[in-house]
Amino acid sequence: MSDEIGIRAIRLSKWYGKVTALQDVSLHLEPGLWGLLGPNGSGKTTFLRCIAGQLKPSLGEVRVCGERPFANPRALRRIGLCPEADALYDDLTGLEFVTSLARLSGYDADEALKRAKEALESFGLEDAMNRKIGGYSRGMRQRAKLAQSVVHDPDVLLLDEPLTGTDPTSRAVILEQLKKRADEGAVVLFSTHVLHEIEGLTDQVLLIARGQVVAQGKVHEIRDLLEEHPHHVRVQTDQPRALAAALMAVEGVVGVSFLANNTVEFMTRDPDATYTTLANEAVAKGFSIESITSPDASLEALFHYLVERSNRGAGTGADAGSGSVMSPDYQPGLSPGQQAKSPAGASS
Amino acid sequence: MAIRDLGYRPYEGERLPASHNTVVLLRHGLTRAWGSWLVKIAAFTAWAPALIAMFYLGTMTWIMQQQAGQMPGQELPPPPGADFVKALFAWQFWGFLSLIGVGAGAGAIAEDITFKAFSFYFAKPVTPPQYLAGRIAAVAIWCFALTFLPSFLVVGMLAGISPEEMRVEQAGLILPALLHSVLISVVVATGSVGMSSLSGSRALTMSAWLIVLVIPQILALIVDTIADWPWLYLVSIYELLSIVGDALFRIEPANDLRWYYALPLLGLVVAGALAMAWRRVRGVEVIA
Repeated sequence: MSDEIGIRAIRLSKWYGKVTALQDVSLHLEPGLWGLLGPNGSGKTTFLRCIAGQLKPSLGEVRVCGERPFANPRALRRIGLCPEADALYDDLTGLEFVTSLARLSGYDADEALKRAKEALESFGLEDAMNRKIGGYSRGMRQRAKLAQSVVHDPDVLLLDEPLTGTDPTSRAVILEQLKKRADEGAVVLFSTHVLHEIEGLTDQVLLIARGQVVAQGKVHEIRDLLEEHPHHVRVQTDQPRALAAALMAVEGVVGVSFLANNTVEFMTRDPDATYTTLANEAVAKGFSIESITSPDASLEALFHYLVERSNRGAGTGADAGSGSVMSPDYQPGLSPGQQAKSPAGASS
Repeated sequence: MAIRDLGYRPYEGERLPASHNTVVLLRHGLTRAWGSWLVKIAAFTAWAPALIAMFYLGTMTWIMQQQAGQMPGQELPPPPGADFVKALFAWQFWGFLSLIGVGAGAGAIAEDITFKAFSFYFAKPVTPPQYLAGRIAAVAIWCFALTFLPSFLVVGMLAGISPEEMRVEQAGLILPALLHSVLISVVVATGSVGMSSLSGSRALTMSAWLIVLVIPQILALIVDTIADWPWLYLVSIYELLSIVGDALFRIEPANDLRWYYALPLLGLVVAGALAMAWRRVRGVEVIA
């Protein structure tokens, strides 16, 4: 068995008939917590299922811990999957459900029971584990699903929309467990289309749109790559026009706009230089700075930007639920080592 | 709710081979089958025909022994044999295996489709053949238990009440009973589970299996009664099993239908059902 822990996709493509769900995805994920972000129908679930060995790639290959997962029991033992479907056997108790799936991971009855109890306890279901799943709330069902995915201590944990329908308490428990697993050295990849679920949990993201990974890496790394999409800095000061005049001299500042409440917004391709100049000017000329914010530092802005750009690149291809019809001139995805190739349509 | 950090403890014990998963799925299937009220009814009542038969045999034997005591020298009629045991299978099939087939078999895969259980099973080291073997074997074991065990009791009773010179012959009925039970179990389990793979609707697959069992039998019976043409029995699963059962118990057939017509057709039923089920889970492509 390989000691390597990670996920590697090499020109991975998957299509259903004429519908392309994944196209030419190449990436390498090392241990840690990764967010897979994309709108509904972008190919997130297909991608996760290819990694989980539940779908056979149409082209290319995917390797989990160095092995192809499809129909490979050895690889499957190292993978934990929490599917999106909220459909469990209602007449089983949570403990029975998780125990039976633990047994399929090769543990004897006693060990499976012990692990199932631990997994359920770790997700806060110690009081409910002997109740029928039919009586569980949505958040409890979600946690039972998560418990079965970690019951065999997988090296690679794949979670499809794990926070769907969860209340804040469940969410806190789930996020804590995901962080813990990642800290222990597992690759934890979880998908979502809700941006704020990722923020604060990890800054390592994969952005997927129309079956392609359009960006991979840390949020700020991705932003650095997007030269055509300047960084926005919003400054509230007592002298907005004077500050704007000073900063316009900085190389990389490509635009400025004045907002209400003495706020000026700069668009810059060199955030570091801009922040340095901003601090120097404030000290030298005695500007009073009330606040400095970056309105598009959140994933929200990045996500919309990339998806919008993908839409422009792909024309108006029909979204087909589990994937999209890809345009032949579709723009290739980005990774931290690549430069954005299409300056066309860059927003500023 | 407190977040519990239970700590990471790597497992150093033995991991059972993936081939063991068939047994795990089999046990799971047995438990799930027990969850069906149809299976519970069958499991509790399936002993009634055998117990009634044993009571009948015991009573008749006692009466005849009383008569023989009153009329010494009169020879007692021989106890019933293969016909009697074979008749028990008809009761078991229509009375109880039909319930097992509907309650445990014909909804098995449909239920897994409904509950999107493939996503869970095939995320573990489970292969489609293991999955199917586990599902079919669970139903087959229920069927076997409710056919062979009652027939075993009856054969034992027959051997017990028979004159000494017939006991070995009567006890020998256990072999055809065993083979017939295995054949019935395999056909009912495979057929019903195969039928269950046709749709995610349990109501649909269970109804379809019931129709496949009952309608051809009724049609064949009507045609045979009216036109004295028995060949339509070859489309009835029960009759196919019965024809082979006659051959196993060495019972003279009542018509021109012989085991060598029936056995290939039963093979087709099993192969067709397996093909249907395999088509559903082939390639393990799981799309919820």
